Amino acid sequence: MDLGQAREALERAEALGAEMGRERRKGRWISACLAALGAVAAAATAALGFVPNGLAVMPVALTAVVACAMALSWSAVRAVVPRHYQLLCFSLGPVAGAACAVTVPLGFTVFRGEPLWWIAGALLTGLPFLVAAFANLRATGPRAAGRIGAEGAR
Amino acid sequence: MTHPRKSLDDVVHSPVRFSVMAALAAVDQAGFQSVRTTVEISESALSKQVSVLESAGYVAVHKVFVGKRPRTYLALTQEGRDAFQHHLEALRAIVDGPPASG
Repeated sequence: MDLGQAREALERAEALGAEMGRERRKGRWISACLAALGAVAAAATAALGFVPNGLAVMPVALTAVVACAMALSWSAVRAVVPRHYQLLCFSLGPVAGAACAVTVPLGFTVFRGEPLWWIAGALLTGLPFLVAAFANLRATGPRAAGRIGAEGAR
Repeated sequence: MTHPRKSLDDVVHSPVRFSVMAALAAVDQAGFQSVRTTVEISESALSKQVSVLESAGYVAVHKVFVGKRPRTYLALTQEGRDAFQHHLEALRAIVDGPPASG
């Protein structure tokens, strides 16, 4: 292989990565879905601390779980799945669940009636979804194709 | 000093297989049809080259059902990603030329 062929191959790799990037951009709407889930998760956690009847938030939480499951199901069968996307989605549940598992029991036993605890806990519960939404925006954004040459094979 | 062309991977070196791996390197996984459209080859040609890549352990193939229709997905294995990265480095070394001495 000579210099010209090598350069041509590298350019082809770059072009193909960009071409796949066009397919990836079809998944941009899921960022809005993830951000909405983050807001719902945070609101549900805060409601547990501030609303006397905690069960009142169960329908909201259930809706969030169903929406999350639907988004993940869709991500598993979409035509092109961006790099690290599945790992990100499947780590969302445990991370948000861990934040909730710390916030709620401690809030009911140690920090009952402490607004700061519940607000911080609510933000912590919603944060993983917002991070995932941001990561998905980056992975499906127009500038993602330019990063492929540097990151794609890693 | 060994010329960088000797570091090129024979499996990856074929133009079609190189294109398939370049397309898959940019994603976690992609549908067979998406790869076929991107690489612009026939289904049978892609199947043949994917079999070679699968035999080398560079590509993983799995099928899922979307509704009642089966869909085939292709993904680079870690070994495939490493081989492709190594191949790209060899190509860059050829393009950059030998390091200046002295």
